[in-house]
Amino acid sequence: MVENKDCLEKTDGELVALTLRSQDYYTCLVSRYEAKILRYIMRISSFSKEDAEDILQEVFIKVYRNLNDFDQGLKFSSWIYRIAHNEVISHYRKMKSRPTLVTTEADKWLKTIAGNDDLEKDLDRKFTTQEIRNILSKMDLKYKEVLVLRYLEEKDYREISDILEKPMGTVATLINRAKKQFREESKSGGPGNLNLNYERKI
Amino acid sequence: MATNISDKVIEKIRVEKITPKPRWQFRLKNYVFWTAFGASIIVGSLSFAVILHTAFENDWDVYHYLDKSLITYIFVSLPYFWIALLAIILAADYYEYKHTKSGYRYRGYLIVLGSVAISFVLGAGSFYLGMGKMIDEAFSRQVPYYHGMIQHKKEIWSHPEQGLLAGKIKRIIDEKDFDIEDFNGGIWEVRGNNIIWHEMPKIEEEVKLIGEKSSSCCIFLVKEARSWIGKEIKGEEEEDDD
Repeated sequence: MVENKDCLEKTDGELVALTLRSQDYYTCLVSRYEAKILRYIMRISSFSKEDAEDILQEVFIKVYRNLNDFDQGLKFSSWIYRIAHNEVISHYRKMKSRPTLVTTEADKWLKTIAGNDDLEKDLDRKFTTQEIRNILSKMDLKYKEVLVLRYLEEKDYREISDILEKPMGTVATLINRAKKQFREESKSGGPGNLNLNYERKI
Repeated sequence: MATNISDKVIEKIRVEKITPKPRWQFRLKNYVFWTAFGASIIVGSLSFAVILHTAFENDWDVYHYLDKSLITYIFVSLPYFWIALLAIILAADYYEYKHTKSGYRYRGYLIVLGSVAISFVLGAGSFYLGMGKMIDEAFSRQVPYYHGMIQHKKEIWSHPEQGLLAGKIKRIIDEKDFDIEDFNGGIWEVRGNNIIWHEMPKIEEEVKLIGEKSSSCCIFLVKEARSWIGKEIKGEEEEDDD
């Protein structure tokens, strides 16, 4: 049995190598990433906590199956976020329905967005939780996810490129368009529907 | 929650005996796409070599003898098979590169431009080594319905009524009077009062002739004679100084 103290000082790359030798070390990686990945899943998908935990489990199973595909030239965090992102898209396709924001979880992270200093700086003003809810309800998933990665997960452009498997130039364009769409939606005003649009990942 | 998820995952791995996929499977997939990409680049380059062969071998200056505009003549002369193949190959290059591990890092247009540039450079090199001609001739011999450069040239130069005639020299009386057999098996008496040959014509040599069909049967009055291969002028009308 691997103790927590055995995990703490090991890097992600070392834990991957150890897991390939002994399955027990996988608990270290799971413990290290489960909170972050669950939060990320809920932020981009707005699924219920139960659905998000199911997806989280699938993510970790997939990570384990594909551990030999992990490239040390890439950050492990980018790789696991990529798998999580793809699983959310897969889940949307299986559901084939328009997901809605669930009030309890949405309120918590919408407050986080509302309080985000970088977002305030980039979009020139503070937004209320209700304003953000209304605006995001009208945004495409591809714009919503880059805003989440950039401002909430605090990923840099290279990491976002590795997660979404898009060129860095495209990432920069998406972020600019996301901010523009956010501003435009904020100017159009009025409460919108809580239905989220999404597009298939190309 | 933290312990619960971790325990569920480990339990599932143990119960379902899930194991990591072997490394060779991922490497194989990557190698397959890189190999396919490499093969596509080579095929694209060879296509480009044949396109260059067509461009250089064609006699672009004789279009007006055929009562065609230059634009029409260009459209008739284009090697559509190789252009279409090159377009398909470039699309394949894009798809194959995008499916490699690092393929997502570059924008689509950069991948296509890069493929075009590599095909151009390698294609030009292949053309210089004669591979464009070799491939075109091999396809002409072996591929049904393939309309290669040879057939195209033979068609262009088989219009004696419009002043274009080509064939093999069969009999030489002198440098102004010789017989040729055209590509349809017809025998022509070729006369040219002012032909001056840079080197004496030889029996069995193939030549292209620009001139005029005589009103008498099977006589062609030549103004300019060229090698069948390339554009070297063998003999041309000299201006009358008198």
